[in-house]
Amino acid sequence: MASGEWCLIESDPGVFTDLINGFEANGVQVEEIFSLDDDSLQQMKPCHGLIFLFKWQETDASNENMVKDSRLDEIFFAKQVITNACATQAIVSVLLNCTHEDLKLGSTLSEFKEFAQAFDPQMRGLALSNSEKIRYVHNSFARQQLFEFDSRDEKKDEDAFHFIAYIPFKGRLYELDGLKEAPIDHGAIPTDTEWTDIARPIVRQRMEKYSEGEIHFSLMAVVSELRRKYERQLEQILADSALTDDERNDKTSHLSILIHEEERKRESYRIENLRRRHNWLPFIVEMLKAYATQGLLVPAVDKAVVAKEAEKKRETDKKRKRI
Amino acid sequence: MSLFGGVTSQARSRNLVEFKAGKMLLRGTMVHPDKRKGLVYLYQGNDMLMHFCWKERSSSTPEDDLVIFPDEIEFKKVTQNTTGRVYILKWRSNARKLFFWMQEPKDDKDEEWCKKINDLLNHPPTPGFGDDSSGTGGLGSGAHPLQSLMDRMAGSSGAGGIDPNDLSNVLRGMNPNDLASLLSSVGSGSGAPGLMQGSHRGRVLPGTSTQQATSLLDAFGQQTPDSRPNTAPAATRSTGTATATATGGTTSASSSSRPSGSSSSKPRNAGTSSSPSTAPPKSGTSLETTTGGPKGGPIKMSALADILSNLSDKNTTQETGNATAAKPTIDLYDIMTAENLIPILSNKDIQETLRTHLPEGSTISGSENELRESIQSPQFRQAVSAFSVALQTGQLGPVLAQFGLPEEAITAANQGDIQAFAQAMEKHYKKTNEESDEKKSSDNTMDTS
Repeated sequence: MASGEWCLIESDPGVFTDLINGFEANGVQVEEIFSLDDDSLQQMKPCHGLIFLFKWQETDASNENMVKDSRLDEIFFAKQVITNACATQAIVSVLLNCTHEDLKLGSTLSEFKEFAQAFDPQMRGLALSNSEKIRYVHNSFARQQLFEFDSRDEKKDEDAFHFIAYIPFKGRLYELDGLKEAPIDHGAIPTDTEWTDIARPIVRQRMEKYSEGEIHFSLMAVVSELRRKYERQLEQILADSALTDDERNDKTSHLSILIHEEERKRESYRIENLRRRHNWLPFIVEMLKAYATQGLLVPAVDKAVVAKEAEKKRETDKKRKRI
Repeated sequence: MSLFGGVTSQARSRNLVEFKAGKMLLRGTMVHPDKRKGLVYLYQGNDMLMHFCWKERSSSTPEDDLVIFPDEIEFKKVTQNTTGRVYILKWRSNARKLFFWMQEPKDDKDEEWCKKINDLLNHPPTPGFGDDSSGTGGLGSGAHPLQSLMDRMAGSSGAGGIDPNDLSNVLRGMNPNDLASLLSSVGSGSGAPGLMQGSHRGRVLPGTSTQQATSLLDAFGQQTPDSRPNTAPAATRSTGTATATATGGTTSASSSSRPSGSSSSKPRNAGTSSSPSTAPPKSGTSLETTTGGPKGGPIKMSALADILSNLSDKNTTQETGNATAAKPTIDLYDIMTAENLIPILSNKDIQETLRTHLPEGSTISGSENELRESIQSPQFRQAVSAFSVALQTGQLGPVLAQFGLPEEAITAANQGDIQAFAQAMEKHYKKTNEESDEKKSSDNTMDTS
């Protein structure tokens, strides 16, 4: 691909987590959130940012509560310059505004932050799109681009995704929308309150709006690395003399399951990545040879042609019926 | 998505997988379990499409019946909620999702079901390949689309026959594709003479039998819902073949891949000129014996023939147009079904070769399972899709030449002709395989090219 180009990447928590690690940031991971209820978010604590993805190219026109003061210098906000880059942009926005001790930003992102801090949002957006290192990592998660073109319809679907980040910053809740001019201030976070509690109604309002319009959306959370959290908890439990043996065993076995689950997740992300980056061409050619050798290729291909024709007709009819 | 709007729950294959599970409801932004006792199940409709359903166990009809296309979804366990056994049905290309919670008392099969759902929805069983469990005679399956029709037309009691006008209205309202399959299943191996004339061009359907047609027509008036034999998805086969005949596509498709022999009266052989069906009397008999309802006024055979041939003429015209249309682009991934993989993966040599082309670091056990998982992975799937598009747009000639593929195959690749490519590949590799098997014989009649 030409330099300066950003490829489409999948909107997948595994991809996003590995993307963060690819930027050499550590200590956090991305999880998909299905429910805003207390339990789910509680389990995910501490949460450093929420990323709302929705399939809509436009953003709403309201400019209420837009930050116009000196906070603009502190909050890292970048305007979206490249569509394909918006997932990375949302993630980077969350990371660069996070001051939590669990997050180790790493040199790539720290350098970028320093470099772009003095710019206005537009320039920051440009700086991000021109960052070779960041773009390189982003593109390494691109879907297989064996060939120059990719005319599949799915790609068009992905083009239309838009990302909005919600972050706590110095005691207030902000909404970062790359298609707007500035961050949006959603108010103070009362002390002793989880910022996600304040974010919840706002995110929910968005979800309801999109549900009504039948616009599909996803919610992801950037959270502290779960495995590390569970390991810490495990240590605490083992050291806690106030627990009975039974209680201790219960809790430790529960945590062991969770830890194991995290390991399994990471391993599957790793394998997915290997498969994503692999050049499958030799494998495919060998498979086709194998099919040919067994005399399965011709009948299977012919049958597929026939089935495709039938399917196309059916789909057209299905659509017709819907109208 | 059955031919007639998906009403009849008996007149299709039994469930490919089912397990007790409850739904979860999204209220605003929160997901709550629906306490009703339910069942999640998959079935394949007569139209080859896969249906993901949920129903209350006390009910006979599904509350949700979703048609799912391959690679549209992923079904997996939700790991956030570790206290319950919650699973998510997630759409790939948009953010739509549905949640379910397992209600089976033991969780030992959860993973297996989860895998089955993914496998079946992303690799639907190819009809006609042995998943037909119907033990009844051929016309049992062949009459399947007609049975649904009978349901609708004859009402629940089976009383009364069918007004020819009603029948023709229904048939006219069908889309040409379903009609073609209906016609070919009527003619499954046998059928009323003249009925099939309009719907195939240039193909000879197997010999017809008046007896079959007569018994069919009798059945119009006689069939009751209860007497319906348990049918199988075999009827779906006829859809494909009917289309094949109608569009005048390669005839090799239906004739070479169909399992021959057993139960030849089943419609899976419909339209297959090379394996003419036998035993029409038996099938006719089976249908008659399964009826038991009150006799209505059966349609005269001539009336039916008229109606059907009128419609099939119309069908012909429509399909003529399609015949001249370009062949659709296929996805080679579709040929990598579980079925087709068996001979490939069980061959040690092939396994070895394929394994060397797997990504480094991904081989854990290096087992056949690992190969299979790779092949089923979305990343591989996407690569094959991209390859398929590239091949069919004539871009892969030069690249494939580097792999030392036979010249004819490269020519076909340059032309974007995937069927010619397949043929050239087999011509070269199948022959080579057979020659290497044939250590002693140099008999030229073994040449299959």
